[in-house]
Amino acid sequence: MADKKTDNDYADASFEAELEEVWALYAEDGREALDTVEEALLTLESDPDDAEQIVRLFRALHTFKGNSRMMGLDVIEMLAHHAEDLVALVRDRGVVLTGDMINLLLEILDRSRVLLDHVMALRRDVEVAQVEDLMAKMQDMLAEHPRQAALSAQETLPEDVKDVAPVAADDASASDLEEDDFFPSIILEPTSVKELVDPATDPEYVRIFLEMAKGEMKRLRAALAMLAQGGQEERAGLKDVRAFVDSLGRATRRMGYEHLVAIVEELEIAVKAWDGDAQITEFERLELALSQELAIIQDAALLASPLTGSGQDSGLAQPLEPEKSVSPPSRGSRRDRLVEQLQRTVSAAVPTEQPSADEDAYGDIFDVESSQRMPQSPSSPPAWWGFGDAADNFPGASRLFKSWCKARMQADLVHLGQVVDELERVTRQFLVGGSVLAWDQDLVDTVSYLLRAIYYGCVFHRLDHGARIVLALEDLYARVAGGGVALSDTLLDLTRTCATRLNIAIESICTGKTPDTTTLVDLLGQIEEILHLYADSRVRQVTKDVLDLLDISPEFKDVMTSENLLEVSRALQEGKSFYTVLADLNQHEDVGQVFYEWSRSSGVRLITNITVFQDSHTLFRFLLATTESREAILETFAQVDSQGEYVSLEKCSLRKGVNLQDMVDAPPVQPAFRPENRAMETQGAVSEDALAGFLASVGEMVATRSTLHRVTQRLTEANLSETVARLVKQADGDWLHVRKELQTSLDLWMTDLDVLSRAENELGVALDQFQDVALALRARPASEILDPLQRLVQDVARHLGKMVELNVIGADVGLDHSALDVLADPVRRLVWFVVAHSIETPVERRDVGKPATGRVSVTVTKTADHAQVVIEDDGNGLDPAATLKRARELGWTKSGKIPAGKLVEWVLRDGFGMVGNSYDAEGLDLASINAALQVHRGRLDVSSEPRQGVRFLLDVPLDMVVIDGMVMRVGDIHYVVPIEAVRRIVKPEQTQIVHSSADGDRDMLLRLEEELIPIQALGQDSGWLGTQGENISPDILLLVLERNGHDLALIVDELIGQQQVLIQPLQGHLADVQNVSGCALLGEGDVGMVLDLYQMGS
Amino acid sequence: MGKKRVMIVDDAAMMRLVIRNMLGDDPHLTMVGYAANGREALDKLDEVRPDLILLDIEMPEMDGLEFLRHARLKCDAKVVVLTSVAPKGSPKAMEALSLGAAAVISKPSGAVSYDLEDKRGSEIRQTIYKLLEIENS
Repeated sequence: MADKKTDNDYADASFEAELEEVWALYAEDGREALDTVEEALLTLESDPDDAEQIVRLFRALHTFKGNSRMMGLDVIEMLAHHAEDLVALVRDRGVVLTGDMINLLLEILDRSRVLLDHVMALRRDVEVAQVEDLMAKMQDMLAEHPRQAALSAQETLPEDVKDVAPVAADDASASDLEEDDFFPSIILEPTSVKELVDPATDPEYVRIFLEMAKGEMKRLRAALAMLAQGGQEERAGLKDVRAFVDSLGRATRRMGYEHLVAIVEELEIAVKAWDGDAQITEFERLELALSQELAIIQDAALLASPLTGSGQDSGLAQPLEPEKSVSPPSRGSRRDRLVEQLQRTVSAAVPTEQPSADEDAYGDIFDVESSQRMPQSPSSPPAWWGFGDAADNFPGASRLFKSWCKARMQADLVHLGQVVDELERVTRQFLVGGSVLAWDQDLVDTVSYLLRAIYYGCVFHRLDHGARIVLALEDLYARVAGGGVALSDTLLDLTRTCATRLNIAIESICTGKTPDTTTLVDLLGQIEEILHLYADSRVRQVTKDVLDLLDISPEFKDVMTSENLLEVSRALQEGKSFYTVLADLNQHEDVGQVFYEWSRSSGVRLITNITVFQDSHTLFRFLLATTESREAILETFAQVDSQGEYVSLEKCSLRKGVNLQDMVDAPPVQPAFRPENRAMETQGAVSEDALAGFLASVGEMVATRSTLHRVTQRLTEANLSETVARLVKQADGDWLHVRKELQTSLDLWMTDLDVLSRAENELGVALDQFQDVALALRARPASEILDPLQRLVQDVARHLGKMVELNVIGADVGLDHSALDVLADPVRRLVWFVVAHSIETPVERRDVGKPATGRVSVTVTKTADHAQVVIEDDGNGLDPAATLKRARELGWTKSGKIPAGKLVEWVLRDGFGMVGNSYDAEGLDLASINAALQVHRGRLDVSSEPRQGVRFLLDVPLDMVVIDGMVMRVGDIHYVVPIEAVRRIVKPEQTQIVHSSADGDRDMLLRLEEELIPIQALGQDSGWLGTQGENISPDILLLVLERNGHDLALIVDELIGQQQVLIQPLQGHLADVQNVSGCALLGEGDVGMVLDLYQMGS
Repeated sequence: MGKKRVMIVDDAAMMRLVIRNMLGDDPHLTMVGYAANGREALDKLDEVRPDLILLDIEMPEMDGLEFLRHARLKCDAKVVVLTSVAPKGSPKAMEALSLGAAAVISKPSGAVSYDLEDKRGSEIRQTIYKLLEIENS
């Protein structure tokens, strides 16, 4: 049994053998590539500017790198990659190839040969340590070109572009710096990583090239005809051939058509060696070869259109590289074998994991595949790219790479979905809890990397719209990474949708079906809308403001920069008038000159201008500001344009309702809110005022006290009873005398009493002031919790792609800091909630006829003993369907409808969980907010109207406030209610008491005129009111109070009277007493409980 | 080293003038050609042989972006795009860079920016120097 080999064993053995052959081919190719590297380097030693050798060197390194990657040799690949980067600097960025560079590359070459042997001996990758020294040297060399190094890592922009970055910055003046930071004029580091377009993959380039080549070939043929004529024509013909070589040679090199380049170079050599008619044949041969090559390129360009033959997605042509289509026949058999081997190998184990993280992967695959294709003759259509078996010369290779690319792309799409999920989780943390959006930058970078890889996948599969979607997403994520765009859940969702739809499209393509691109087109539209929405949102916002202010053409908004807006702002401050001028400046130099001089004059501010194409003329529409009158301006123009033929002037009026003076007079815009500074400033300001008032009050009270002291001392000394007793004793019947004496004493006594009364008044006033001041010391303006809301609203709105205007009322209402502390967090969360969940997106709002900008208002008010915050919006309100669904899940209802009043009850009930609409953000637990308020004896009221918005009322009782209270007694306890809440005092008749329930006596109502008012008893027992049918106690007294718009009749034993009381917070076990918001000292040692009417009966 | 050859391509005559005035006195540069659109510039390329082209984007007949494609195949000149329609990150700016523009500099005050020298003069010069490897002494 042990000896018996199974089919699998044989398959394994076969696989091993095949793998061995692949290794052997890798070694052979590798040595060949390294030989080419050596040859190129040796040539470059004597001529470092030899562009052809640099290209050769680069390609050899590129091939070696790609092959190493295919074999999973990461270290060797890395070494080759860095060497390639170094050469790329020379090839693409204009860096001079130095002797040091050549030496280093030779060193790398030598080491690579050793490592290749090493790899072949062990069949595995080498250690990083074996290349570390070379890597370090390369780093040093790249460091000599720091920006190039950055590019080599990123492969973004042409080196020379990035090189000028510091120049622009250094050059800017201080004010410019600020603006440049906002909106730099020079584009050096675009937000999105864009590589230089590869002309060979760009249909437009191919078209231009072919058009140009056509003209050049015409020139060549004419030149050859002249050469054939001989004589004087010969010289001109040779000149034209040289010009042809120069022109087409450059273009073919730029296009990367190496085979064409080779033919042109042969032609160049032939021209140099020209010795007469004998070479005409050679010229004609080369001309024919060129024509054939160009024909192949042209065919390829035509075939490049649709992958599936259906014509869709033809915008992104693939790198056809037709110059490789005429590969030396001698290599055919070996490559053929390689293709076969690879096909078998890979079909046995299609890669499912993401290959090494290098965004060049697809590029390398293209290279390897193209190196393996070999049409049977130059005239064969290079249909290798299509996967149809009939047209494909190397079906095996196509299937292999199709399979590889599909697996790779699918793996990337799955990975993208996972990273997006993680990003969403992080974002939600921000939205619900934190105040700082601190997503993991690595995640954003990963998304960008994946998108780039997927972009290549789309290009490979010729999904034009897919590629554009991915590029747009990449752009958006680059903005996210740069901080210009908030990471919205909309963006995350679109990314997920993109992944799903691309997956479906890839599946279709790979099963030979035509992918449905309509879903991709839709998605592209959405993403581009977002891109448009977010692009330079700050400038757009300000621009919008300006356009709102001035009645000017909206087309200016496309060219408005921060600098222009600054100019507008300055012009407004200077009180200038705005004009638009449509000028044809190109027709007459005089007109241009006069306009130029006028616009440079001191009174004129040229804001910006746009190009207007009118027939064949180019006109410019200027937006400018000036103090000059319209007449004066026209007079200036009339100097050169009396008919008004070239320059026309229009005044820009202010939009309706805009009062420029108000704007000019308006205080400067506050800088961004800084909570810590603001708090300090606020506290400082209050303290200073309060202390001044405090001292003044103390001064008044001291004076009053001395008055009191003086009068009481006099009264004490003048002891009235003693005086009366003495006078009675001394009267001896002379009552007239007694009366006179007594009258004098009583007058003095009355005078003092009057003084006392005044003193009491003064003391009362001083005490009032003293209270106010004392409370002011504790009070802080509501702006402390309201100001940060603007930022929150804008952040969240931007994040979710909404437009929201926040209106704040009552910012200057002073509230005790304890109340502010209680309100701050719930207010912040609820405002976030209405922006995130109730306000719709601009598109949705437009659809239902609402203004695109949603409105949220936050109003803070203070009653005698309560602070209230009302948060309202004009959005969608709470989602009834989602609420009902949740309630049904919880078993709270089985109904298909929401019973009246239940929606609010449910969302505030413990256990309901997150409340939210179908927007991207996570919901909010309203019950927990209510509970948090209740801890402080506060409450949350909610009301919501579908499509009209939601209204939150937060109510907290105020501590440490003085109120005019009505003091009463129930049993042994004194209670206080705000006097403003007392509506009537009723001593009811039996008939006025109505029992509302049939089975008990606890629910009673007071019939007062036409109203029925619920009666509430304080304390545990209201039995003394009498049960149903019994006579009511004749002593019963009802205090009718108004509570939050409703009335309430309170049973009291005794009314003590009206009194000013200071409400103080309840401490210790008293803190749990229901229906009471605080306590108050009543004098004579009594303490009153301050009733919380809002809480009572709720 | 001889003066570097600069070509100006802009459809606004005044802008061509402004740029010429700005760079005309530069000891390292010589203005060798002017064109009002991409087509005209393309026709003049062989004759003018510029080392650097200052290119507007929004032009009639052939715009700057299409010109960039042609120029990349036809000559070795560095191209600096001077435009009012391609702010940072805009698709046009990105496209210009990807088509081979060496730098994109925004015009400060719209298509016709008389204040170009005041606000961008130094920046433009420095960019040109850098691209043409001119020692800024």
